[in-house]
Amino acid sequence: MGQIFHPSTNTFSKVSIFGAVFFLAGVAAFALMFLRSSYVTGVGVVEPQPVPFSHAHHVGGLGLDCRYCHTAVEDSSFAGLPPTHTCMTCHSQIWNTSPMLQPVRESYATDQPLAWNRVHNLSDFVYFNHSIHVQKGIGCATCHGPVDQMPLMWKAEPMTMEWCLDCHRQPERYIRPREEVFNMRYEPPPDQLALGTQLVEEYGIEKARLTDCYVCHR
Amino acid sequence: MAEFEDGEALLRAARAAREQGYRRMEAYTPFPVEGLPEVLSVRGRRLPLIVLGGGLVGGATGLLLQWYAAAVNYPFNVGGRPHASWPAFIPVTFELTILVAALSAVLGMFALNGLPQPYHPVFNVAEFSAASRDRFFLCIEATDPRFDLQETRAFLETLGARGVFEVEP
Repeated sequence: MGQIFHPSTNTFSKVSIFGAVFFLAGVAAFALMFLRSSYVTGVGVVEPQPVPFSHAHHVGGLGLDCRYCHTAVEDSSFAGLPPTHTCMTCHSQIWNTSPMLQPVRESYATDQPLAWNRVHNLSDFVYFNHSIHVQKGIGCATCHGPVDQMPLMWKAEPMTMEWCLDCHRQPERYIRPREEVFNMRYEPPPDQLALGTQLVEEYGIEKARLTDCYVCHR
Repeated sequence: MAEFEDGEALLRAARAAREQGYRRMEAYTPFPVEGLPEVLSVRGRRLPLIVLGGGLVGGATGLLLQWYAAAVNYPFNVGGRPHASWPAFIPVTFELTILVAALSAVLGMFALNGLPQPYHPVFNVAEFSAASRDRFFLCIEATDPRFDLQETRAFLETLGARGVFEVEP
């Protein structure tokens, strides 16, 4: 027995070469899953806010229309957050001694806006226009989820380019009649594709141009 | 296992062993010896097929990948060219053909000859360390139907070998 290597090294070397295939496949699978995980996309993650504002209470409970606070959504690219004035239209009288609302009253008194933390934050090289989507029959809940049931705001969709293009390629799968856009409880009809195809025609949506680069990356 | 001084002696010995009816033989040489594979009836017919298959798979992958990406999955206008403009696909198709063919050549070679194999019984013979420098070895394996320890040893000694060794499994 004048050998350098033990017989087990044969098995070891072959298994390690064969196992490298599985190792690389595992790394690739992990990378793909990681990039789509909520850790990266932020889906379902609640951001802490200066005031624990509940959409579930104001929309689901009191029945406020989305446009009461997000006034610019129909005619501006940016839907906008309401100023402190909007809060104080009611909260100067209602719960006007509540400690929870202390930051709102302070903001009103000192003329310093509340520092809300953005939940849906696209990169600055993406130009997103709210008004065009609202005008062409894409409902709030399609992208923002059931906001009327969210005690605190979270992302319902990943807001990845893959997800945006999914609808820009086949808008008929998600489009709804214009008058239903702000209806948070809208259910798509069973013949969604037929209705959607008709609405795409009716609203003059040019599908051929929707996936061009300049549409978003202006 | 018999040890020889040069390739010619090994070739003669291998031919003689073949005439004796031995089939399960293996020769170990420091460099390729002309005519030895034919004597040992080693035919390398499978590796070229594996390389051809790898090349075809690589080329098809390259072509289909580009066609899918440019014409099916996300077609857009780049410089007014048609979406599936095949002349632009040729370089990548060509290179992927070569890449996959070369990889299947290396991996197929490993798979067919059972490498890497750090442990092998012939290494148990001390003189065998010269096999990769300047000695030529002919090994008749015990699995051969005509193998008999005494007879085969006597036969190998008639071939003008420098030495005849017993390989421990």
